[in-house]
Formats: sequence, structure tokens, C-alpha cells
Amino acid sequence: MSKDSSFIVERSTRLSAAAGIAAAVLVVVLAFGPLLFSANIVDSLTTLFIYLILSVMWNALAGYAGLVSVGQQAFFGLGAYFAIELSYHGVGVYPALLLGALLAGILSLPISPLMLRLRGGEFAIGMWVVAELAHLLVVLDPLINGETGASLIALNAFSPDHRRAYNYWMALATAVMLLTVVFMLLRGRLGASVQAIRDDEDAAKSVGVRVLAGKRIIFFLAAFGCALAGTLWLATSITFQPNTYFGIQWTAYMIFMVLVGGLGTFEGAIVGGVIFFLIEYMFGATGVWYLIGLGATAIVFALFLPRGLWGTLEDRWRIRLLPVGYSLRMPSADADAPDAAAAARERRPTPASLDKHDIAASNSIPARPR
Amino acid sequence: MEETAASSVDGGLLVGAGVYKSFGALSVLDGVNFTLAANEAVGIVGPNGAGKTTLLNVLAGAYRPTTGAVYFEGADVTTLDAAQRCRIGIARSHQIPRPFGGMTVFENCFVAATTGGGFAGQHAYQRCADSLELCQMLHVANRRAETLGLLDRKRLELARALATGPRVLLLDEIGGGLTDEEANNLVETIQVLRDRGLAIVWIEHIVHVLIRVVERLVCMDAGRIIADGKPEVVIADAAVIDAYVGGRGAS
Repeated sequence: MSKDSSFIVERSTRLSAAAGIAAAVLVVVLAFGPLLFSANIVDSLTTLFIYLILSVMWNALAGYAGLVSVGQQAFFGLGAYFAIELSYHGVGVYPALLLGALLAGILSLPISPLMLRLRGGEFAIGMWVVAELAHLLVVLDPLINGETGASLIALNAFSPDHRRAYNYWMALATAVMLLTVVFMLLRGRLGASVQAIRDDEDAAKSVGVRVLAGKRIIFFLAAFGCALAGTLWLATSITFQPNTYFGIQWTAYMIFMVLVGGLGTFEGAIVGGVIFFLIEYMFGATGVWYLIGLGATAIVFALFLPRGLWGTLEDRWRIRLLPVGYSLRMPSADADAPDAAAAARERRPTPASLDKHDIAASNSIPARPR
Repeated sequence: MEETAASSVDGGLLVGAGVYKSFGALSVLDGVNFTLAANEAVGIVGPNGAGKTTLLNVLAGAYRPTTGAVYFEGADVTTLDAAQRCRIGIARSHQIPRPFGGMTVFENCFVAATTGGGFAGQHAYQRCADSLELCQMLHVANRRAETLGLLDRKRLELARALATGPRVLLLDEIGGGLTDEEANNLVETIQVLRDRGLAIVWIEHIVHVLIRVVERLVCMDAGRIIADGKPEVVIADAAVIDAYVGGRGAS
């Protein structure tokens, strides 16, 4: 181990540290939102936070773990449904929102062994079936009145102004918490493992990755996160209509946000969530044309910017504001040399003497801690 | 078959005892007994379809043998899957490289070091850096693996396997598709590993490359081992020449 000091594994940069501080400051400022902003803006920001949750969850699921689900609305709807049930059975309305989401998250665990065995398109379709099934079962519940739906009446005990502020704080706190948890998990060993599973499941097995366990953690987290988004949505709209909550449009929104922002980049999901929010804010009232515009934008991105906005930025300028990866720095030779130079160096044979010396110095290869 | 298993377990680090493997009606391994001693480097040759890769997959845990058993350090590991086998010290490379394309070269190794090798923190980093240095990949450490060319993909297979800290290395045609110069380069790396005492099983078509590293050569044909011994003896073996050059109808 004579070379301990000859390289550095970089996990953050000055820029990313600054970004972290900026994000913290932004959160603190946002925390005073209901005291600073008009009711309209508070409502809009609450919606934005919910979109951010959905976007980051779908990105963790599909972008990092390779689990392309088109059925996350199952948990979005189930969270809201359980919250209504719990509230109806006497649980306080705000605890019911949290517990309802937790129940939906827990329900993902018995579903996971079935679903996570499926790969690629099979998993996507399987999840859609789960969502449709959840929808059908919920409609059978007499409390929901079929497709007519039900309301979270208990919320009417609070005045609209208080409700607005509570919803805002709840959505902000949930978004910050979930984003932090996902970020820390992806930065940790789990993040590297699930990305390996995403890229090649069998190869991941061959280097010792516990494939099913890794997928299950992300699957649970994404289910819980989407369910929280569902209960937050219920808190803002009060009414629960199965058709709306179990609608495929939620998945379409999630895919849009993540594709436009940058699949598999942490910053991309956030950028995509903001962009989707702005597009909806500006054009949402135009009805059909809004939907056509969304579809066209998604197609343009898929064709011309397949790595999304942030993915493209990251590739071109190597900017990472919230890095989850690892970067190897060699003080002697820059390991991050531009590709052309790297390719040229690669063809140049290393001096044999240097090579042998280094190999002799490093005797850690056959050893194994036990 | 039980006797075979019992007798060969003692001598070997990694043992395949009475291994049969069939896919439906197709029998690919037809009673293979294979023993790898500690610190030994063994080459496996044989015509296409001889069952070489299947044997490697059985040893690595990617396939469960239809009948027969696999022993590692004297313990029966037949029921362990590929991930578990990697964690006890059996690493492999793939014939067609299977990099984690969306991750950097360094991260590819990092996954292997942390999950397969059980290394953590600075030890994991050191392990990755050592493996990459040995495979001459330090200068591409931060590149996304999907941007690599064939030679670097082959090297990455090796570096990633080494990052798990293996006792046994199973190489599946790691020199295939490379130019002679490129293959020579890899051979030098593998020689270093052998000299450090890593046990190696190496499947390769290019026999003249293989015999520069291995001290024992095994020839397979039609799911069986037809010759096993010193490389020069095996190469001269009539059955081996027969399997390679033709006249298979006569056998």
C-alpha cells in the first residue's frame, strides 16, 4: 500500500459544495413561503414540490435502477385511497395522509418478488397491470362510491388559508426529505450497485451484487414516495376520484420530466420537474394543445437530446452540482483527460520498467480481507 | 459419481465433480471432472460447442449443473449463485464484454470491490486503483464504460474481476477478437497475476497465446474432457488433433 497518497477519489467539488449550500439556503427561504408569497404562488409551489417528488422517484426507479415502471400511479392512488380509509376510520387527517402513504409503500413489498423477477418491458407492462388492478379493487370499496369517488371531508375542519399553508409545508418537507434520502442512497454503495443492475443484471451478479435486494429497496422507496405524492395531491384537492388518481397520465408526466431533465442524473430529475411545472403553468389552460405540445417536446428530446438537458450539459462541460458518482484524480497525470488525448495515450505503450516497478509495489491483488 | 466427487475434492481449490449440464434435450456437459489446484493456471481449449463456456458458467455459478457438484476450498458450493460465488472468491470475465455502460470505468470496479470483494472506503478505492493500474486503465478511469473500445472493454472485464479480490479467476476468451499485439499485452498482465499466485482457468482459442501462461492444458470436445496434461503433450495428442482438424465422424 505504498501508493495510498498517489490518487484521490473525488466525491464532490467546490462547485458541488456551493450548490449544496445554495440548495440549503433555498430550502430555508422556501420554508417561509406561506408568509412571503401570495396564495396563488403558494398553491403553485405546492404543486411543484409534488412534481419534484414524482420526478425524482421515477428517476431513481428507471434512471438509476433500470426499473422502467409505467404503473407508479398504483401507489399514487393507493396512498390517497388508504388515507381516505384511515381518516374515515377515525385517524386524524394529517397522520392519515402519512400513514396512508406508508401503507401503500409497505404494500409494494409483497408485490416486489413478483414484479422484480420481470425484466425490461415485461416489468413495465406488469406494473401497468398492477395499477389497473389496484384501480379496479379500490372501485369495489363501497366507501369510494365507484368512479364517483370520495372526499377527505375531515380536511374541511381547517380553514382554507391554514390548509394551504399546511399543504405547502408538508409538500416542501416531504420533497426535501425524500430528495435527501434518495441522494444519500444513490451516493452510497446502493447507488453503485443498482446502476450496475440497470446496465447489466447478469454481469452485476457476476461481481457479487445482491440483485433482488438492491432492486427491492429502490422499488419500496419509489412506491412510498409516489404514495406520498398521492396523499399530498389529495390534501390539495380534497376529492378522490379513482380515474384521476390511478390514471396513466401520472406516469406520462414522470417520464416527461425525467426524459427532458436527463434520465439517470440526479440534477436532471429536478430540472425536468421544474420545466414540466413551468410548461403546465403557462400552457396548461390550452387543453388539447397543451398535451400535444408535451408529446411533441418529449419526442424532440428523445430524438435529439436523448441524455436530456442536464445529461447533455454534464457530458459537455462535466458539471456536477449534486454528484453521486466517483471521480479518480491522479496528481501526477490527469485521469480526466479529454477523450482524444486519452485515446492517444492509450496507444502509447507504457515503459516496461515503470510498469514492473508499480506492479511489484502493489501487492494487494491476491489478498482478500476475511 | 459420489466417489469421484470425494476423491477429487481433497486436491483442488476449485473442483467440478461429475458435472452434467443439459438444456432441454441438448446435453452440453457430459460428465466433466475438472480440478484446479491452488496457484495453478489451466488453459481450456476445444472446438466451438465443446462446452467450454458452459463449464465456466457452472464453475462461476451462472448455471446450476443438471447433476454433479462444484467444490471450492473443499466446501460444496453447488447451490451458491453467481453473486455468492463471487463473494467467496471466484471471479470471472465474460466472453463478450459486459461493462456497466452508464457508469465510469472506476465505478465499474468500485461496484465489484464493494459488493464482490467486501472492501469498504479507502480499501475499496485502493483496490480499484490497483486493478486499473495493473490493467493499464488508469488514464480512462473516469470515462463512461460504454465509450470504450474492444481492448479496453476486455481489460475492464479483467480489472473488474480483480477488484473483487478473487482467489480464482475464470477467463472466457479474454484475448478473442484482439490483434496479436493487444493480446500480448493482456498476456503479460495475466502472467503477473499467475506469478502472484492467483489460480486461473482460461478458455482461449488462440493456443499459442494460452501456452505462454498456463502450465496445464485441458482439451474439451462434445461436452467431455478428451485430454488433460502438460500443454505440449496435449497439443500433440491424437484425439485433440482429431477434434480440431476434423475426421470427427471416425471418433
